[in-house]
Amino acid sequence: MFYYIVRRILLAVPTVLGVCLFTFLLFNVFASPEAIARKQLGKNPTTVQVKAWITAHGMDKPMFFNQKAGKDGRIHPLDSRFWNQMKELILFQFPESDYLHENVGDLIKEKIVPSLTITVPAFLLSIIATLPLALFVAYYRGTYLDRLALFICVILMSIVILNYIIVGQYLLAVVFKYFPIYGYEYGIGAWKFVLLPVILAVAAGLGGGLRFYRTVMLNEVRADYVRTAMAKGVSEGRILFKHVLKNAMIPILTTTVLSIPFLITGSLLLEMYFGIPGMGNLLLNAINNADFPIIRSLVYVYSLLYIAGSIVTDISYTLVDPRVTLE
Amino acid sequence: MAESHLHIAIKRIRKEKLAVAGFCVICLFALIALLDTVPAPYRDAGGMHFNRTVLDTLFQKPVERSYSPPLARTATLNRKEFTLKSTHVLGTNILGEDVLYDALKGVRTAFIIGIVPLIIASFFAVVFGLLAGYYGGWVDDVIQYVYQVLSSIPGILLLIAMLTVMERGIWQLCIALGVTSWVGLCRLIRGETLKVKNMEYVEAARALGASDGHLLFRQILPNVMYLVIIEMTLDFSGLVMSEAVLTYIGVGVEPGTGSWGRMILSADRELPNGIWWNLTGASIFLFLLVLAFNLFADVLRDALDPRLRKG
Amino acid sequence: MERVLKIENLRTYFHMDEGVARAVDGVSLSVEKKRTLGLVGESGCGKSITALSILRLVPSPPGRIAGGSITLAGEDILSLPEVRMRDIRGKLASMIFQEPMTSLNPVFTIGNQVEEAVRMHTQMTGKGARRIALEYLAKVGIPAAHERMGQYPHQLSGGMKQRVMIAMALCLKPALLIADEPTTALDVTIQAGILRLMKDMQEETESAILLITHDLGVIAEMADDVAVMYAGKIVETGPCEEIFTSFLHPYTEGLFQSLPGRTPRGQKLYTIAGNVPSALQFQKACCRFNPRCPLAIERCRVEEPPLVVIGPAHRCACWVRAGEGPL
Repeated sequence: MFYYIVRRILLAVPTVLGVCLFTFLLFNVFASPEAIARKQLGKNPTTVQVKAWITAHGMDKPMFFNQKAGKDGRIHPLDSRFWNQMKELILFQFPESDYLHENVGDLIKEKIVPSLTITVPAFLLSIIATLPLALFVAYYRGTYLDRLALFICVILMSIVILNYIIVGQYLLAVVFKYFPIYGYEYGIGAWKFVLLPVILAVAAGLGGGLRFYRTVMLNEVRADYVRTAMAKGVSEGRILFKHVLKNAMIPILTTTVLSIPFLITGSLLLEMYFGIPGMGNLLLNAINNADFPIIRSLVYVYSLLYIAGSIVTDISYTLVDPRVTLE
Repeated sequence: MAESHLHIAIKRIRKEKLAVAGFCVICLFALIALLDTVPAPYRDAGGMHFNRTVLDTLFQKPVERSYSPPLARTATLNRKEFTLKSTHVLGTNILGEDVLYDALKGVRTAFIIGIVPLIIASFFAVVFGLLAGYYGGWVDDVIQYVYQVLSSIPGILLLIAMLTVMERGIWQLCIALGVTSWVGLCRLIRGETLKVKNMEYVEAARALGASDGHLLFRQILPNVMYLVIIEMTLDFSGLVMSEAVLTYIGVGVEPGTGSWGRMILSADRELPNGIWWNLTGASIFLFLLVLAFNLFADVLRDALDPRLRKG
Repeated sequence: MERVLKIENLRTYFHMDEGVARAVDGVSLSVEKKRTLGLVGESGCGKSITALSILRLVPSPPGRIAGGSITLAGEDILSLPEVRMRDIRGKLASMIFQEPMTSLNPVFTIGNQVEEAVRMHTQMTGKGARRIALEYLAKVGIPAAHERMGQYPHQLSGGMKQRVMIAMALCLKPALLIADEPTTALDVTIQAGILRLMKDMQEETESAILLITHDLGVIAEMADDVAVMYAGKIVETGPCEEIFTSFLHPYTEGLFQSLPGRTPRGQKLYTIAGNVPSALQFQKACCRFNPRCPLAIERCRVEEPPLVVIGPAHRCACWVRAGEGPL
């Protein structure tokens, strides 16, 4: 197991490099250092100011490969924009944000917790709500109840998440005043600000989630081993809860586990609407302010999370499905 | 062989009334989008040239001075009542623009965003998927590496990043959406190509001396197409909904293009003033199109499912 | 000998969009204790549906048992409540299926699955059930049964899996074992072993066996009596030896002629002209074999021949070969 993980991590290195390279090209090729400097310096900077900014941020160095001698008279080939940025990220020495003038690493540490207070409860509640419902619907498959449930799912899925958020917030917080509209409190008090966003997140995902779980279960119900169990005299309920569920967990687990790392990235929309100072908010503001240090740091972090997620998913596969072994 | 599958599929779809209803609604929306594409330019008395479409001639209404609820006769501005220039079935928004007209203008945008990115994505997915599955070896490795890198970056981030460096606009949005969403389909096509590559009819064709190109395009591609269609039907609604979300975030289509997302966005300013009809109009249009598509697509998918093809 | 199963005029129909498929249309047969009835016919003739009807496992939309009676060890199967059926399945009558690969649940151990059959129908707890499971796994010839109990289905070969199915089906000593093409999916070399096992186990459990197959070789090996089925109807029945030496029905003749051994070397192999009809085809009375029958006369096209007695326990339904005789 240990060697498997090590191998996967090593294999992931070229991927992470590829991700950083891609982001680098995306930002540095399409937007010149000049343009970036001008944007950050606000109204009408002088040429001197622009130049100073560029030098201070290391943007005057070549992109990949430095052939000029540095201050100490020697050539440092890796003293280039790309490798300097990579070095920082690999060592987790996050750069300073252009716009906010704070260290990105500190910003991330600050913003993770608020994001998690929404995504983790939403994630757990979704599963707790959807799984039993899916089993229930699978038990009554083929009946009107099943068709009705499916139709309701399609309707719920067809409502865009924005509607859930806007209408939910307007009705429940503004009109009926059951919840606070906006804002966040660190510490235990966070729950009152987080409750409504969590409920809305679960409601928005219910239709799609239930339909997916139902499809997975019904796929299993058609399997031959279910016929064998019935021929043995096993009851419907036991077939569903024991035989089908355990097999259905395999595809369900893959999708759920894969989304766990992304709980950290936070929900952009919810944070925007409810004023939660989380990672999603951080990203959005960075984009609006063309704050590249934040953007490239976040891209780097996110790709690490994705790789971690896929490794964990593959491992969880082996735990649930006896047919799968780590190669 | 392809026609009989289509016939079977059509027969199966006709049986589900909801799917047929969905299809009719889609056609209705498509008609609206079409009306919005056919130009009907005119010059007014002052000699100014306007770019109008047929839809404009039918539904464009004069802009009022302020907002008004649906079917209102009068409205208030600065506490003075004034009569409206014409009847607005869905009211006017905070700027006095007719809501129904805005919503209708959004239809074309929705269709473009729902279809064009998929065409772009399908193109990449099919080409890379077929090549990776068919040739294997280093070609496969390279393509797999490329899409591993792309999928390590969460889609929305990549999307926003791409749009930040390009100008805003509907076609740029389509390109960005297309480029960020081909990976999933590519994986499926690669898998299916691997399966089909070893089937007897391909072996037989190869034994008869068919070239690689012939095999790829005449033998393998038709058998992989059903995946593309299924994916297209799955993603259309998602894309249409994401236009609304992206506009909200600030990376949607440029101002001046119809956009349901922008209408929903304005709810921020409008709801506090009790203006609910703009949001509702846009939401209903969006909901109807997406629902119709979901209902139709579900049945279309079942009808095309190869496992049920023997039925 | 005591009669374990008696089916009289069973009709099982499927309501499809294209019409009503009369998959089983007036089938009567019976099996006695410690004897084996071979039900033979081509794919699509309705033999599997007959078997599923006995245990009431026919998928219920679109299928439906439309008429007739089934008596199993004195119980009137078609009138029993579902709860009582569950008691019967696995204990009074059990079934093994054609595809051992998919008929076992991949996420549970084979020991667990056999134990489940025991626990469903007896009061035994874990230990007692495990003991019986182990006993039967050993009896069906699983080597090192004690260790292999903890293995998963994918770790066993096809033949081994089928042995596990047999253990599961016979561990409660049912009065009737229904075997639906038990050896069709297995290698020829393994087939003989499975058949021998079934015969040996039958000695011990004293069960009646309803063996469904399209393979005359299997019939020759295992069956005491034979029933030939075509398009939802029984066309000929009798003791095995009688059928093999003096078959009468043109279809039965066709089946025997089609055996490769019957055709002298160098000659073209015999095939019965035409194709197996679909169950949707026959809406009017007639002899169902008539479109393919070389002996068909006018009467065959408009009237269905009854099963008439032509010898000791030998019956045949054919206007030409058996006529109107005693029923």
